[in-house]
Amino acid sequence: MSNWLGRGLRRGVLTTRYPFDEAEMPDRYRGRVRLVEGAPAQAVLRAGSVCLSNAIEVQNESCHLRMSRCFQCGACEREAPEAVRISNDFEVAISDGEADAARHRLRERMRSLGRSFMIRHVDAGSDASCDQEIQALFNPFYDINRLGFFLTAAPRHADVLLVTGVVTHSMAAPLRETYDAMPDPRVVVAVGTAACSGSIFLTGRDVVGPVHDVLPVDVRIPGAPPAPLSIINGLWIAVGRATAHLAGPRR
Amino acid sequence: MIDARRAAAQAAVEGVRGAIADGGRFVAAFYDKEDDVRQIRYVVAGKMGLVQTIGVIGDDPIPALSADIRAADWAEREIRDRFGVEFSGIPEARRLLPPSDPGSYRRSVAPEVSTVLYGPVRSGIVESARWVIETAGEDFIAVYPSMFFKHRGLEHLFTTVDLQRATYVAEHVSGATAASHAICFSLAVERALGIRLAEEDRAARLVLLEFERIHQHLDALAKLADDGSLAVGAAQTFAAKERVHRLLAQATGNRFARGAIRIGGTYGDLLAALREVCARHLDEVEHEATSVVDGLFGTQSLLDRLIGTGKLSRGLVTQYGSVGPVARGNGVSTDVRMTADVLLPIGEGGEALEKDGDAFARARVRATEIRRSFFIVRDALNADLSSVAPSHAAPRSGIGLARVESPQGELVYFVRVVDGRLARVAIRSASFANWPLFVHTLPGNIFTDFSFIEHSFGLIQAETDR
Amino acid sequence: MSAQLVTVALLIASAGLLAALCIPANASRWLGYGALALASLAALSGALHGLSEGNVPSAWPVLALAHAVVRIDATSAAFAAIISVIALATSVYALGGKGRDERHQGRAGAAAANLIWIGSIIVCSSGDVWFFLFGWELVALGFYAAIAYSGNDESAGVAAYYTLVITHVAGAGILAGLLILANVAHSFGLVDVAGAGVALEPAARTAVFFLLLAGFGAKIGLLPLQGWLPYGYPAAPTAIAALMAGGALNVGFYGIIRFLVGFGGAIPLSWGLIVIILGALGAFFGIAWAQAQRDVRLLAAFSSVENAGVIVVGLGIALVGRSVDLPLLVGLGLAAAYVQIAAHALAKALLFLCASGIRSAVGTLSFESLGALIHRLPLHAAAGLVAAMSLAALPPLGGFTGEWLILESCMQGFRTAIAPAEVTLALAGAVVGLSAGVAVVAFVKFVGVALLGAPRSVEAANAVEGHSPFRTIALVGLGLSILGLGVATPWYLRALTGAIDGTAHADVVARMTASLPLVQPTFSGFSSASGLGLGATIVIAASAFAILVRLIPRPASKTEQPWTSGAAYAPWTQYTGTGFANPTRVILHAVIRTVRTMSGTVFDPRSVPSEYDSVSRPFFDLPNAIVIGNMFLRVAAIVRRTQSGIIAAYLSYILAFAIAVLVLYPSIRHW
Repeated sequence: MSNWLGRGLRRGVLTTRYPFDEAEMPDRYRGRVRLVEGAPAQAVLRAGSVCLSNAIEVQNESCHLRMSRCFQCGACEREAPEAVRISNDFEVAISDGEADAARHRLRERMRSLGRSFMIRHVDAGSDASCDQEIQALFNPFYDINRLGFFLTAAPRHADVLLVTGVVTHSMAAPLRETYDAMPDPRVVVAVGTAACSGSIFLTGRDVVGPVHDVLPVDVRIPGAPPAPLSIINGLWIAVGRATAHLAGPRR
Repeated sequence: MIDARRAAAQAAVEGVRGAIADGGRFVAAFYDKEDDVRQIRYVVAGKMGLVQTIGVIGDDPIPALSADIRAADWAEREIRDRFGVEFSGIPEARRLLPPSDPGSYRRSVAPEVSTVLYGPVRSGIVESARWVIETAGEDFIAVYPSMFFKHRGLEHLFTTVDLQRATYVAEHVSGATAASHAICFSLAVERALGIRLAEEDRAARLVLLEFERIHQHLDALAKLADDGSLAVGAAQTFAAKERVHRLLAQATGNRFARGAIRIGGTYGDLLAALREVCARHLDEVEHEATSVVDGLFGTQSLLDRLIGTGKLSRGLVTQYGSVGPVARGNGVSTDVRMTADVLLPIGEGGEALEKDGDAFARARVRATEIRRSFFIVRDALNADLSSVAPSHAAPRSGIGLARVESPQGELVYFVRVVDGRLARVAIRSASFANWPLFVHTLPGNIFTDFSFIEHSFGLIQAETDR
Repeated sequence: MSAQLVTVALLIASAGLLAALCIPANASRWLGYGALALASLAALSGALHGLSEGNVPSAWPVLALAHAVVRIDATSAAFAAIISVIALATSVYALGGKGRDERHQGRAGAAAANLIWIGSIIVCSSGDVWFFLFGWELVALGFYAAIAYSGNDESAGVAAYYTLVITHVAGAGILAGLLILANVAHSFGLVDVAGAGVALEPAARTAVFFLLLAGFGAKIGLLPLQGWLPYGYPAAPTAIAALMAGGALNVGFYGIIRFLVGFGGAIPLSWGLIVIILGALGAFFGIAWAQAQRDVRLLAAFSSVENAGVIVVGLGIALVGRSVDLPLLVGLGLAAAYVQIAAHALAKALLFLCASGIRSAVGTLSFESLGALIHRLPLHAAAGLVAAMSLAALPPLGGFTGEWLILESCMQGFRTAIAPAEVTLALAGAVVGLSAGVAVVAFVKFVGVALLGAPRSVEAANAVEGHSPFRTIALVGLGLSILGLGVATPWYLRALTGAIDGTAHADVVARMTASLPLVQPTFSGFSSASGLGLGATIVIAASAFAILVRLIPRPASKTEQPWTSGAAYAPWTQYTGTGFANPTRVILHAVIRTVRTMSGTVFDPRSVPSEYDSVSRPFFDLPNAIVIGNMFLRVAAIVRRTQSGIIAAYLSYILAFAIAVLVLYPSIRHW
């Protein structure tokens, strides 16, 4: 019989203290992508031309990089390193403004009743990596149970709806039904670039689009897939315990 | 002219039947439209590798291979449902793709039979798929999957992007096994256009494939432990998987090694980065992974749930043309690394074969493969290889067929490049090949065994539905 | 006075019968059922008058030459009252119908109903054995008429034939038994015959007892003669089935009480124990088969088998009381039986009337086609719910008090101080308790599958409840009666003082109702129950809860579809009736013996089953009876050869018989 207890004790505590403490991803990790200030327009255009999901928008004199469309392939920095800087910053969650009321109510409820948050995950058409990263949230390194997040199968009991993947035609109605089956207050978090913006799929005939084409989304966490630390950051924002670095328009 | 076309389809089907009768294994049937000519490309695996036969579609319905060859079942039904090709003699008239009206699942067998639809939104962190269960209370009348809810139209998407960036599309087919897909796609294009690789790039690709095998196998074993309520074992196994992802993130910049493969090689100095990171961390990752797997196999309560569960017979496995650990659990050898398609001829030889065909055997296959993958990685990292790619004049058009041993089994990509652009990309993933076999594991098991069997198969829905 | 009232009632009903037979169309339905209603009112008043007189019989030789003597004593009055209440409800209900689906329910139904009622009342109020048997045959004829002319497409022919055969076999047994007793009593007066058993030899006494038990048992559906009930009841028009199952059934109990519990002379303990065992087994098997049924009427029919078993347990305990000379035990068993008889009659009639309404609104009574009827047919659904609750023995309804009293009487085994009796009573109590549990499953299935959920067929979705004051009065009246029986049991028992005390020869009812509103099982200090208290508690608690819920502020709620893992909710994903009953079928496999046939292989996509059938095979079912019946027919065919029609053969038979008599007479003389 294996000695699981001994094994666990020998390894000690693996769990990160994030979000109560700082955490860091490896140097090479491709996290937040930024356009360099004052970069030549030619360089920015070159970077934009290699982006498969059209994350770099150039309009007249202004250029803008939409993190929600970025799937962190690194092609832009390779093509034009003087225009694009990729850091290992993993806090890339985007908060959509009007959701504050729901988040506020969730936060109040958490404080008054000491409640935990129940998460219901729906795969609307993901490529399976986002799902495995959400599964990783429950491993000893991240252990989101310590933050009060638990998984539930019944939407009736859920507070947070995590959606992965671009929404396909066949999954649009089931996704909508899952959302309808949740009581208020509820928060929708789109995990992964495909769920946030449709990524490279928008030209396809078989997809409806990103999650916000079907449901009102509160927090979007881009990444392909987003690291578990990014998802924790996004969840923390979703329940009103943190503010996002990035804000998105309600499209 | 019409006679020739008709004969072509018939002849192709006959040829494929002959090849299979000679000991070949049906791999795939791809629909293609080349210069307005509709055709089906049949792929059979023989002793010499993959062999392609083209059948031109005429006005008459094509004789269905699936009439007697079960391995062709889903392939032909998908072509029938998605592209509207007429076949004669497909045993299952039922639509493979999800119907628009759920009422069409209902059959009028008897008034006391109710049809329960489980899915597509199932419980837990699990990919979306539907199971249709017809039951009269305790008695099961029929159980079958209704999949393809996650169809994103990836094969079509390939044809809308340029060749070089298409590797990112391949990574999106199945993000969890992104390396297998990107590498297999690249190999197919490289074969089509005659591009040769440097040895170091081959080695780097090999290392990524094996790391992917390790983290996917650990994922499957961890989920089995979770199903068996071995919470500590599951947590430790997921932790071992996490270490692999961290290693990949340090070496490639992405936890799943995405964005590392390009057509003709790899991005950046991938092998050097891998050597550097592995020198520091590989020992620890290997020790954690192997010791936790040993621990799982030393826990009798878990093994009791696996032994005898989800048993398959060897006959069924060969009939359905199954691949990967599912096939190896019954002793059927389909490992691409044992064929001429191997990336680099190094690493510990021999395939992990079991014979009982139950969930335990499949888990044993995975445990053995994890150990062997670490050996292969070390051999590849320590080998003395050349970093120069032989130069050549690359043609602009061509056809390529490549296969790679993904964690789930044999993954096949077909690519047709016309004038530097992708005209057709077709994928036969291991999950697509193995799903049809799943229903046959159910007899004799109780309903709570379902997730054990599902996790012992370890398949990915995204690459099935693509 | 009471006898006269009953005779008048009989005459009114006969007039109604004639009217139904002779006058065409709608008027005959009104006249027929109207006459029945009036007649039952008259009989009811006569019966109540008879009960108020204590145990003083009132007799009226209507046609002495034809042995037509009407004699009302307390027992007769009790049963006449019960049957008349049911007939009143049924006839009022039938007045409110249009007879749309059951083609001949109008005329043939009215005629059959009158006939059944006349026969039943004659049986209960007859003072003469021949009149008694005449009434019995009228009931059999009425049953046959109801089934054969019901216009049902289902195998009514087989059902009618089978019912007639069983009832006649039963009648033959009764005839034999009663005539043997009459022979010894040297009189055809009913009371004399009933007490004549004392003068018989032991072997003959046993034979007579069990012949009568078989005869009356077949009528009530006692194991092993219950096979005809599931064929007879569903084949009759459902409203008439209410009268058959709720009203006419009770003549069997009357016969048992009059002739068996009142059997003359000492009763061996084994008789009582055998009766108890048969009753307990019948209760359990009956309800086990009931919950596996796919049709509401079959469920009700097997529930009648269960109730018959439970009541017979009570009567068996009365027999045991007579054996060990404990009049209080006799009285307890009788009292429990009376309460359960009344509760069952009311609830079963209500259930069948509810089923009749469902049938005319939906067109079918198969569980797989019903659902959500509580929304479409609120009145009938409420009636069905009350009936189901009573049959499942839930307080504060009559069924609860009846079951409780039966269980209490089973617990008195220790007072007999005889080991076999103690063990049998205890085991019988356990089996009765078990069958009460299974009854809950059966009636939850009825309520859940038929009344709740979503409609399983288009007809159920479009069902419309026609408004009819007659139907409302009938259903509400029966429902209130069931509630009243549960709440006011002591007063009901007091009304039956003459019947219970008279048969038990002890001061039973006074002891049982010593402290109102409680009911005690005769022996003071043992236990007690208060239907009134339970009812009041339930009502008060429910109201308090409702008020409390109103007072507590709640956030706004929204209504959504049931969660179905992302598939749109559809009625066909619900439990079917068979699916709901399946776990119990699997557990009670040895009793229910389901045979499933399925084509194809479940998990092979290429040979998915296209046919599925599951059939339950109760014991002593029709096919078994057919086997036995064929044996008799074969024997009869052989015997028929003696009826050759040749005079010479007959003369030789006479000669042979005369010689045999002359030869054997000397030895028979001393027998």
